[in-house]
Amino acid sequence: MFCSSMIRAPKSLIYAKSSLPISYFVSRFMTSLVVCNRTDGFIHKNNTNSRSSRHLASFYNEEYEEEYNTIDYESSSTISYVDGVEMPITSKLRITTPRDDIPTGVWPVFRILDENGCLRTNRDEPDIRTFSELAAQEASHVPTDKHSAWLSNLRRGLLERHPEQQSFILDTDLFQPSPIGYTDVPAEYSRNTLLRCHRTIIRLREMDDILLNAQRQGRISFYLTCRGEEAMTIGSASALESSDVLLTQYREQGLFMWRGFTLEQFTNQCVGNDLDLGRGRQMPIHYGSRALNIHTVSSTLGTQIPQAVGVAYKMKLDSLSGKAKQASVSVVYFGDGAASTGDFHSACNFAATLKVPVIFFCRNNGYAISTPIREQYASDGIVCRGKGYGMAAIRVDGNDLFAVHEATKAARAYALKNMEPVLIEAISYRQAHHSTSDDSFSYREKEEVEDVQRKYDPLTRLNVFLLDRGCIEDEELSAITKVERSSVLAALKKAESRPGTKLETMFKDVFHEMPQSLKNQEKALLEHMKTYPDYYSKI
Amino acid sequence: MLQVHTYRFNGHSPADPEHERGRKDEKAWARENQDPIKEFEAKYTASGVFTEDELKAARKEILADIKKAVKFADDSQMPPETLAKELEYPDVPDTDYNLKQPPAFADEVNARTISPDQMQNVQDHIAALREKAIAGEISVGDAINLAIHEEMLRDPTTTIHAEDLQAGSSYDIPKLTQQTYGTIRAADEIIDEGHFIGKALGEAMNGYRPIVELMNTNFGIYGMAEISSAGNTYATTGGQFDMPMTIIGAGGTAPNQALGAEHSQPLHAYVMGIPGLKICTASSPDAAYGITKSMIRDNGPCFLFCPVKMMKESKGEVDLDRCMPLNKAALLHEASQAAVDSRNAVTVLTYLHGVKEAQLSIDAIKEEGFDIDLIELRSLKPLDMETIEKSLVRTNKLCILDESTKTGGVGASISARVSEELFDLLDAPVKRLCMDDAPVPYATTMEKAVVKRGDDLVQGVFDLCTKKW
Repeated sequence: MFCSSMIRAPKSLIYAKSSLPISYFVSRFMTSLVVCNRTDGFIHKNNTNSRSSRHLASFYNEEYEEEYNTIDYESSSTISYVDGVEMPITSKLRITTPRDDIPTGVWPVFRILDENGCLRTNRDEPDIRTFSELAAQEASHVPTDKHSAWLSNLRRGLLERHPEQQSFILDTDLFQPSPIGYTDVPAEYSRNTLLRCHRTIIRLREMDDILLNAQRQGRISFYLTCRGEEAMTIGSASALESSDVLLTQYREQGLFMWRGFTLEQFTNQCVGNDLDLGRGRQMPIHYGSRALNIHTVSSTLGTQIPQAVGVAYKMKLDSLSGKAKQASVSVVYFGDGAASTGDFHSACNFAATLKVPVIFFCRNNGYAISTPIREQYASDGIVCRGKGYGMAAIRVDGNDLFAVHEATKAARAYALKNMEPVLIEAISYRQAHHSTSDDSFSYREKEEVEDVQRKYDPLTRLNVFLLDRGCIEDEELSAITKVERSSVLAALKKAESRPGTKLETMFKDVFHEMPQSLKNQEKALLEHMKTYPDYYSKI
Repeated sequence: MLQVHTYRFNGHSPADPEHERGRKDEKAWARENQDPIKEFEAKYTASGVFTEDELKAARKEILADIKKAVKFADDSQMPPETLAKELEYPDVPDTDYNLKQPPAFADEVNARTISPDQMQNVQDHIAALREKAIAGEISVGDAINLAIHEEMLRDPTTTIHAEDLQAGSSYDIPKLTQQTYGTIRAADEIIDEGHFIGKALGEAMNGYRPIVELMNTNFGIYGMAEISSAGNTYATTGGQFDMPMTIIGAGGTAPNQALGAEHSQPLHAYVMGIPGLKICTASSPDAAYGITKSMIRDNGPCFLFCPVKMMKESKGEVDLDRCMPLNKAALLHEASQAAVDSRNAVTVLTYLHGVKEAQLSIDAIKEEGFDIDLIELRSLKPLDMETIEKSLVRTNKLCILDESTKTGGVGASISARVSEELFDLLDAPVKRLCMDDAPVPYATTMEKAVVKRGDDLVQGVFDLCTKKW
């Protein structure tokens, strides 16, 4: 049988096929797909001759005939997202510990899911561990409900098609029922982590799109999107526990969204109204939530990195003293540019010498405003710096949700087991302009961006996988996108209709207890406002 | 990278006897077995290159030299009191930079390093900017760019550093520099203000004249250690090393700028206390141009702040080819004699965005029956007390529209000095319109009350003239 998806594009075509035994349960019709232009994030059905797939609830009962365009596809051996920098791909999840030798040549990138939506055929590096117990469990598994049947079928289908990915398929929590129920997805998949990841990415992309336009319309003063980088935040956040503390740079709104930051909370902060958690003090995208264990975004670049080491140090102290209820890590996110700051250096050194459970997650998206990576460093990226500090490291494909998820899970387990830091370098591409204050076409070619969007977009890749597996249909995709879009619009409208932040909050939080000098200033200010009620009540 | 393994015999310094670290045995072993001098002596007496007596005589000689040097130091006079002041700046505050001679090798080096095409390109660019300047249509950002090109051609030892330099940074200050002077002379910096200011420091001490452009001066907070180092260089090296570094940045806090707390901090207030710095502000293309030229020619570290929200919009004329003094304030508007005589005139000191705010409120002030001597504090340090005094003699009342915080700001320093030195000229306490000691809010409702504007100035003048304090 063939797994094929034809991603049709003007200049380059990526085709898929993997050869397998003919008899084979999971199936659906493969429709030929066209990747849409960059204003939509989803895939349009193009071939009107294809038969549509059955609804996901019932597909596992039937066998379908398949119509495919059968074209050869070889799992690519290298990736090259930016600047012609080629990196070899590995299907083997391996954290290089400080005791290991580093790989020779360019450090390979760990990937599970190829651009064609298929799991990698790792002929060169089969990672077949004998999971005899798990496999036996799987074979004997009797689904108790529709949902676990769905997942069980997904696993079985994938196992038959990709026996070399056995360890991933059986081990990952993405294909197992979630222990907690998600409340921001339809009830029928409230325990489906895979579909929730997918949905959240769509929601994230719609929110970015709308708020970007809101800035262009003058409704908010500033915004920056994470277009093309969603797999890194959603993939890693879904692999962590809620007690893990996150510190971010500014392009990680996905983390907030995964953990339950609502669309209202996002828009309240951007608009600066009376419900803004930040009390109207910071410009847009400076989100923070103590409840969700995510530190507030701060404009100063790179300062979050040593701070994360401090958080991890506290966690270590807690675990040694028995105070910790649950073992946790701190995870800090930063870009390739921020990795050049002095703070990155001292943070890595401290973390490694003090031996604390922190994960350094570098989003290497190829650009730091206008500086491309070839001018950012002379080394093989960021991952090789780990060895210099005596720190474990792994490089992962940042556009592959599955790889990011698995790598983060493994890093977390490693960090807690060894009480050591881990450096994760995720390779991706910044499809977005740096921010609304930047026009990236003044320093890079439009064709470069469009090329990456066509071939390497993380949402596209995930869509193709889900469509191919029959997890979702084209019509559902458009429906989901529509629903999420209107949710964002509603939230923005609601946020704009609210009054602005109350001025009385301004002097709070400067110190824990307001000193007399501030009290005096506050008093003078309020009196001044009372003298001119018309002037100030206007706003 | 060379990693050399050696041994530390003593504690870090005499202040660190290391009693608590239990290194006594270790140190004894080191002195016995890791002493390079002992090893040298043993090796070369064994091989017969030197005799023991020869080496002993050498030791004696060295000891005598050291004793002589110590005696010389002890017997020498202490430095004169005036030396500290002399070592504050390599160029005295009232230097006329128009008199500075360009280096003789300029033309030859330019011919060698800039291709005819590049030269044509940059000359066209300069010509276009000069036309704009004459027409009164050049912006602050472009005026600085013009000054930079003129100085970089005049003196090929001038270099420029900025993040995103090749993309023009934020306000086109380094525009066309990399394309003309190459990537080493016009360097695109990676993100680390500390590092590239430090790098510029190295250049400056070794014969070059670096310009460092900070996109937004808030980012300069990261380089405080290096900025301090720059300020201290001339004095702490005993005048042996100049520091001809020029730092330019867009900063300050405009009304309604909506950039939030961390893009609105007054770095100009933070660096005021650093010795050795000449600190100026320019809110017009004319001042930006003239001050930039002087700062580049100055042999000490200079810092120019421009208003972040007026870089592209503020247009005006420029007095081409003239360097401005770095220690003079500018009287932009003089109160009428009538207002002075009727005791209704106030001296207003301001800078950055406050200048425009003040200029726009003059009519409103006049309507109320008052008038102002509007002085732009182009030089924050050294402060031009002369101009302030001249005005205070007329008005006897001072109001400062200040883009720093109540605690530790620019206005605070000026207010203190005026009270100390010009107390008899004051008929009223100095009025300071400044930001509160809370992070500058982003939400409009709050920001409006914090960042002082023209309306507040009108009120301030009114209060001073009607004895409301």
